[in-house]
Amino acid sequence: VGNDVVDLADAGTPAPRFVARVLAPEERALVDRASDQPALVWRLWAAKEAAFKLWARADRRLVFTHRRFRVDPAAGAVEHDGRTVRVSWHDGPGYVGCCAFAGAAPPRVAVTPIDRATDPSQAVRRLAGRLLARLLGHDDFEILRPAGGPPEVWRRGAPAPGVAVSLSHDGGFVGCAVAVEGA
Amino acid sequence: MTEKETFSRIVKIIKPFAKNQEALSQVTPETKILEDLKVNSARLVDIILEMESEFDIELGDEDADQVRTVGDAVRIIEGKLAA
Repeated sequence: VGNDVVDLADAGTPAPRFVARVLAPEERALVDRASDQPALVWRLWAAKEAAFKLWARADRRLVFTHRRFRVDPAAGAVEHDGRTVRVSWHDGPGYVGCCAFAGAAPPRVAVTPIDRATDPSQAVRRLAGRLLARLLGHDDFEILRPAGGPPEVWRRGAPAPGVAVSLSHDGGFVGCAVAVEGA
Repeated sequence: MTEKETFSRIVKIIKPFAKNQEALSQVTPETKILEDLKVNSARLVDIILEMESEFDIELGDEDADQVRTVGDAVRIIEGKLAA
């Protein structure tokens, strides 16, 4: 899974140069027709980030060439260099969120606001820990980043099979996506 | 332009985007832009765009992807300016 959350107040109105840099022409055409253009830019951005995070798990040298991660909101998919991944948005008051997933169904997601004084890295781990505990039925696991890579769920000294987690934080929000086989 | 001047100009560009101003006050070439300065990935794009304007250079996606630390930015920009 790959997950991203964008704090809309923090993100503000994207500059035209930013939009030109990160969006493909067909995505810019969608934005031009949108009633809430900033929100759509950030939804597209979150989808690109989510897809990048998912693919980068298997390819640590993957370059985030933003424009080449093409989002099709109607299909709920992101395409990059001939491969496609499904994405699902989970927007809420003040934020947009998106997760990319390889399984049959979208993963479970959670987003929560945090106090600006709170460490977002710890807050997002606590959030994901609560969600995982609910899905797994126990809390005998750890969320680790082996060798500084993406987060993994470990149990008793080894990666937990069939369990995936992705963490994100931005501004006043933290979010996570969790996939558990069979849950 | 010296490498030190390039470093200072880059730090000035990063300043408005860095949420960890304390880390920025102790910035070194090894300082990680995302993790240490708490710049988010969208703002990193803004920083890349500002660096293009400031130094009158073009930074492609491959260049931008290599910018992890402030020192990376200095090295890439110095390379572009020397080319």
